[in-house]
Amino acid sequence: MKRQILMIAVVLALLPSLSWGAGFALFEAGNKGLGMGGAFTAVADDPSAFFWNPAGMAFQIDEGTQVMAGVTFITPYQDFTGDNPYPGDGYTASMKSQVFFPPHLYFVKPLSDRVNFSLGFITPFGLGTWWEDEDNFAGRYISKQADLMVFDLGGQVSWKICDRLAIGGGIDYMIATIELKRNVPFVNPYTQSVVDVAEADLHSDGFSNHAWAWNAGFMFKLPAGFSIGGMYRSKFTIKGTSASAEFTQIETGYPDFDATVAATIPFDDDPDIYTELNFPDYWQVGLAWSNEKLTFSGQYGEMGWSVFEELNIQFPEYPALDSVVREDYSDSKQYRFGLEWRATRSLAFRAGYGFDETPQPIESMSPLLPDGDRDFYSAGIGFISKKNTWGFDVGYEYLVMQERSTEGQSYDGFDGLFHDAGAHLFGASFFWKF
Amino acid sequence: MKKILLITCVAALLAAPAMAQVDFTRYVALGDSLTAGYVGGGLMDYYQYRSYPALLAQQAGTATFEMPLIAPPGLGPVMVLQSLSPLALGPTDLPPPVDPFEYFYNVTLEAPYQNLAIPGSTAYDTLFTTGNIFNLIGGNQDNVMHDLILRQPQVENPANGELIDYTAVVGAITQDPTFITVFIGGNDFLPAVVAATPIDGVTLTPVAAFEQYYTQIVGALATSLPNSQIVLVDLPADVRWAPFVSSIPGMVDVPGLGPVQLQGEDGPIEATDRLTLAASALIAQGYGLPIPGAPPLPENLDLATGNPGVILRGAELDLISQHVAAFNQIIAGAAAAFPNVHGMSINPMLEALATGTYRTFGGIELTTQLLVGGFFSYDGIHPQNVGHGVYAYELIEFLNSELNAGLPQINMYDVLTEGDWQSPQPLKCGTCDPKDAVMTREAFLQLYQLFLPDMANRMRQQPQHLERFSSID
Repeated sequence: MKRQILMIAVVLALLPSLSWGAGFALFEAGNKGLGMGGAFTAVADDPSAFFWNPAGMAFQIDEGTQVMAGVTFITPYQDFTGDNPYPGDGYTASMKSQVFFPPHLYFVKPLSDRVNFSLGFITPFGLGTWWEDEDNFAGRYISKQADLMVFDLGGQVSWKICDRLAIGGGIDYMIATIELKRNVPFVNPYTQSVVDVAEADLHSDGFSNHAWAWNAGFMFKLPAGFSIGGMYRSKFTIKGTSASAEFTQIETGYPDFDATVAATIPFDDDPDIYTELNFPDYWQVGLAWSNEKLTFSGQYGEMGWSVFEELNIQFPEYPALDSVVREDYSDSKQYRFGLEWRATRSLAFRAGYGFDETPQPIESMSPLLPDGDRDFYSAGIGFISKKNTWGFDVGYEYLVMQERSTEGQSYDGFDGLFHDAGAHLFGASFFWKF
Repeated sequence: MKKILLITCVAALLAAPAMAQVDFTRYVALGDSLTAGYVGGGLMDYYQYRSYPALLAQQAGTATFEMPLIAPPGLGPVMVLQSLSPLALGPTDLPPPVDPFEYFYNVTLEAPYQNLAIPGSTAYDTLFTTGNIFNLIGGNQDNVMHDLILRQPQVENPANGELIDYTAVVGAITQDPTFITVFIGGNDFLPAVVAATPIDGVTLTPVAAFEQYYTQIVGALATSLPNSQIVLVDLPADVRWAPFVSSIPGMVDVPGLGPVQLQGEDGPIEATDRLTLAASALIAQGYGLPIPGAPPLPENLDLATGNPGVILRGAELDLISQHVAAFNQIIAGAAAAFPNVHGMSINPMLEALATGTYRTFGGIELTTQLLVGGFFSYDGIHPQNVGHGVYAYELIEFLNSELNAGLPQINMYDVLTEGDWQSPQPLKCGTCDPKDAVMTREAFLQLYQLFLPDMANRMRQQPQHLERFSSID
């Protein structure tokens, strides 16, 4: 147990910036599922069932106490080419190369021969955008760097009602951290041109912005190797009351103008900010077929992204600084297919394909979050020891985001083509059974 | 085969309206100071090159778009921000070139200009007023802008060889343009705003007269140039959108007294009234303060001295708005009267800018605020180069959506970040006196000269009446 607590502490200390899922959802909850293209809701036969389908835990009671820990490294990339009128034809920008590593950690303990109990730590939502040459990036007044992370600390109970049917569910304690950096433009009265007068760093303070959510699932093992699984994770709202803004003045070379700016923007104060972020609910249903050597799995899901209508940032002490970013997301669909070939008793090979529909309308594509439909192709290898006491899964996913133009309709007036976007995801999960 | 040909021909005819495109080979702009590129109280090459017609010609690929270019400090000269605290806007003290051919360096161009917009010109002037460069060279400054831009008083009528007056409209027609913009009428109501005195027939062109002149302008262009496309731009429906009218508050904070309501000759300044930028210099001298001995702010133009009023009462603003609404109806009617004439309204854009709801450019919000709004220049009436960029953007949007012009949009990032003529090295004003709050007397006189030249001259000739516009020493 001490070892487990130590691991949690280590993972918390390494909390990274995050990114990459449809909208800003993350499905990187385990690397067996990753290798199978995320088509794992009707399979859910390892501790990552915590995310994919809690009912799957009930069919793992015979595995005893389990611990799984892992991480998925994500290296996204994206380019942008501008259009007139802003930022101008031929303007190009690229995202900085970053590596994100959302971790996952599970502890599973049978309570009886029909009931399993599990604890989990995952990162179901994350967003990380950071533009190269950020202080000259033409979108710097919208966003030059954004990081959003939602951590889920949850507990679940699953119950095998009979040999073929199980249900499960749990509660999730969601903790969010957010940081948005952008520059503040002013018209310099001496030159009548737009200049940067401040950098605004809006960030949550610590880990005190939280919400509760819940999840549930079922799994039905049909004859002839078929299984059906379904899961639901509830929506939740993070009410950011523990957040503040830090403004750093950028001098323009005109002392009296700078003094006027200093009288307008609270540089000496770190004003409190308040925001409410709505996160979507989602469900997935899947059908799988297995025999001794093979598993085929298909899955369909929807996310209720229409709750993400706006990013509203309020400054209770400085209402003039309030801002509202229109998002207007729509509900979106996901399709996933995967297979596993158990070549030997210890070694399995996996592959998968998925398609995630973007929830984002072209109007709200912006430097803050430019999204698009995604195709992804995955492969993985699983190893389990001869005594079935430990093992690991490694997975790789190549994600391609379709290029997408704002077609001159950007809410932020930042038009162009977001292109050459994608990500490489590589991860490993280790598990032990006691 | 014949059947196929017939179907093809019919299909082509049916498709023709949707395919309507604009030929920008020869573009002529008619208008007044705004179209000429008059910015911050002066006409200068830096802003002429960045005026909306020049930007439009550039985006349309028009090969030749000549303008009556004027070297710094411009014919004004253009204004600079002399001081932010205290706030003072005044003409630059940069001296003009001594040689007039260096100052007006495109005046010897042996061809007409394509930007034929003439600062100060009304609908009447566009139709009837001529100019003669030799008049200006001879030292007569009665008609500077027409002399400088039209240059020759008469031209030979190609139809019969007779000499006819060379007006702006004739100047446009004789160039056989394929595309024309007409943005005229500002000076048919702005004198009422600058002098804060709407008088029909004096500072406001009577509606019937405007109708007569405007319909003649459009009729002459549309019938003489049936193959050209003509765009008529309407007029700002609400003068309160201009910072010249909306920057000076009716209340001032007086040390020892706190916030006080300023007083005009006809009573206190109410919420529906507006003070012009010209009021600022008077308030700085104590005019309008509710204290014993302080003179009230002048309400109206003094026809004898030329001194302007500085208060636009609510009813006066309404009267001006009614005139502009009538002008805009006439403009819309003229646009509807000819198939090759199209009406474009700038009012949705101006209203959005005034209410802070205009589209952003990459998160940059423009407003109608003086100095920091980005749209208007220092004189509070004319747009600055960013404002011209916005006009060009809106015109291109209109041409592309209504006339299928297929023009590339302008690059607003460059426009927004380029700065004005003194950037990036600001011209420091060595001798400027910042005590004339907000708008100096010299700066106001330049505007006054543009909109009410007779009154400005009268004001200059009567030094005893100038004292209320002099600074406190």
